[in-house]
Amino acid sequence: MPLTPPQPRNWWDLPLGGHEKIWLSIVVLLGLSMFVMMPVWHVFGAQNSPTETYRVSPDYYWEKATKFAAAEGGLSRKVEAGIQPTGDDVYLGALKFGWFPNVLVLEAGRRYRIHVSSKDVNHGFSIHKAGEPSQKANFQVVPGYEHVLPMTFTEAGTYDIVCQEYCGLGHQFMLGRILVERGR
Amino acid sequence: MAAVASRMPGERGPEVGEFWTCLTTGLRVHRSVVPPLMVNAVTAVVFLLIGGLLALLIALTRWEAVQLLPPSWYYVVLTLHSWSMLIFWIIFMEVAILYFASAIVLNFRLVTPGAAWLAYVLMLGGSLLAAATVLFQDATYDQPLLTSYAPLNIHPLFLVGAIIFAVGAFLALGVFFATVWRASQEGAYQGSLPLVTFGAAIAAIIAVETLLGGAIAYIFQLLYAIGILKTIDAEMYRVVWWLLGHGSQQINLAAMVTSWYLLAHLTTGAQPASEKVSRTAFVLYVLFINLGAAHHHLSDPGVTSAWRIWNAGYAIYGAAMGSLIHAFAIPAAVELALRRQGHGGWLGWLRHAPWGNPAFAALAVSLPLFGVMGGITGITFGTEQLNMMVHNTLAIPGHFHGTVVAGTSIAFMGVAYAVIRLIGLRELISAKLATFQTYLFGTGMAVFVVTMMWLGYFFGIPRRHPDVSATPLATSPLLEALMGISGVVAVIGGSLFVLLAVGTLLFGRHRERGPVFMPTISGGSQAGLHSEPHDLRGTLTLCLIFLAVFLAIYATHWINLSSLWRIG
Repeated sequence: MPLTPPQPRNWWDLPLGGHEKIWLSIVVLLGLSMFVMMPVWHVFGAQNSPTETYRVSPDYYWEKATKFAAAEGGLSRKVEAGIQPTGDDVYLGALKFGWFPNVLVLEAGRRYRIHVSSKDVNHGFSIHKAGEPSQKANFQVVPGYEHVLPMTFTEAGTYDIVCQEYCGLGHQFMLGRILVERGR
Repeated sequence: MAAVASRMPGERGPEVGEFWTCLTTGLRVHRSVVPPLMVNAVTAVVFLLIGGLLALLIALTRWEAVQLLPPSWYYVVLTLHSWSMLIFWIIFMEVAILYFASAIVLNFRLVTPGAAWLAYVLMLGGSLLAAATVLFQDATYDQPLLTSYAPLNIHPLFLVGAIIFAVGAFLALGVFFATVWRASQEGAYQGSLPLVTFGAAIAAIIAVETLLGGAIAYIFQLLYAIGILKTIDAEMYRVVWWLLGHGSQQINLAAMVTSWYLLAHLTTGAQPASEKVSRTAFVLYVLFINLGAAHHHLSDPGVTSAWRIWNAGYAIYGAAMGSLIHAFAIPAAVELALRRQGHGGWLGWLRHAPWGNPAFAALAVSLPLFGVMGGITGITFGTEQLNMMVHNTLAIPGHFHGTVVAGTSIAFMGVAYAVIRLIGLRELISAKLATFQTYLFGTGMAVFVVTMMWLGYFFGIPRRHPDVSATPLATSPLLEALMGISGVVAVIGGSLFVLLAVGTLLFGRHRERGPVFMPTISGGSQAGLHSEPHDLRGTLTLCLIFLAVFLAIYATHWINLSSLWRIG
């Protein structure tokens, strides 16, 4: 019994029952299959967690994001019309309590490399397709790390960005938007 | 320790002797263990009550038709709720379980009771300091929530409180290991450790790793908070902190599984069908479970896919295999016991289980809820690619309310009901109400967990968020209302537990102590058990049903992921 030392002393040598063996085989098979599933998705799947990362100082990254926005024609933090990048690299900076630039206009079907990093504390890059609540993806935004998120939006529409990591009072007002338009 | 052993039999009366015997289990209880055990358990229950009342405020804030708290108070309450529940209630209760599983199960004394008291004082002092700091700190500091991610502006006294608590918990682990060690040296038991002690030792080993991780994270952060360190690596903090954050919940897992074996035995006389299988499953936890801390970095920068796959998959799902084995072994033990008592049929034996016994109800509610609500989602959310869809959404607290509340907390409530009778020597003031409480709490939590996961997974509603209406996100008022109401039901169920536990300690009818000395119970029946054919049709059927649900949910997650735009 579980409250006394196991009996007999050679408990390790006792045979298993048939039903136990069936379940143990299932368990081992299930574990191996689930483990294999992840690398398999890297080969055949179209959605894989990005890993490309650069170690940067928060100020350096911020400068890069500012330069990107200036080159693309907008420096004010609230550019309602949005920034339309000409290249494939897009730089997004997070700080308490906003995204900079906070509106991007991208083309559907084109592969962008969305760089994200933070100027101050941890934030969350959480992107949601408007009108289709289950279409969303979430990434941690960490100061000192420039994370490159390659994304190809297959459908045109509005994609809302909200901060999904607690960053202080005002967290809930940290919003941005990506407008995806059909190819020009 | 031959001295104590030799003066035991009959030399002192039951009231003045150092040992007395529990009439139900035959366990000998040394007087040195009862006060620290009961004080830790009662402290745990007090934190459960505090955490539960705070849970009410949170549920009524996240239900946005009510939105009770403003953001500033929401974060204070969320911090205190998470620390009260995930750390204080659980770890004080685990210390009580460790003392039970060492001294009482091994029919031994608690060595160094002084250290046990010091551990208690440090844990209580640390927890009060941390709690008071976040309650009274000035507004320039950030609320730490559970994780206090660097470089948030965290009050140094909060960190000092957390470190003091960890030191106390570390000392309590030392008391446990010392007690088991002395018991083995002095021949308190022959052969291998009893399964309950073995499981507790597994929890304690995981706890050592956990607390070391926490100590490193908090010490570095404290140095940063007081200005000695000028910078701190935010991602490294996350990786190291989660050794504590995830590891502490794996202590729960091991302690909960141990509690399940204990509850199954106390209520049905169940014995593990195979000690080899059950113990191997525990060893899988030690080897693999702490790799699961990587579940928190699957959508982080700075880690490679290989690192994510290896760690988040517990190497080759070793720890998940451990849990799936226990998921079979525990109902199997109950099935064997009930069949031995003459209850047959494919699943007919289930009808003869002691459903009206609160300790059995706790097992019957917490085991399936843990598996279905917490276990399946733990695997799916912890899969490298699938994590993108749920990271930091309400589905994550949905998952861990399934594991820690519906699983661990209900199992611990069952242990509390049993221990109050066996060690506290009081009859429950109402066993009927206690059983009702278990089912009520379980039902409330089940609905609560499902609605949280639904809002997080299908609506992408963030966790740790004071006001979703400030964002453009779509939500479901109906699901939010269900979440709020089921949360309130669960809090009522939880409060009822506290009422019954405290009421019993104060007003319960006294139970008798057994005579001072009784020889260790022989495990003779075990040999007979192994020669019986193991008819486990019922358990295998239940497990296959669980497997079907598991596979359906797992497949659904991949199908949903494939509907997203191209990422990576």
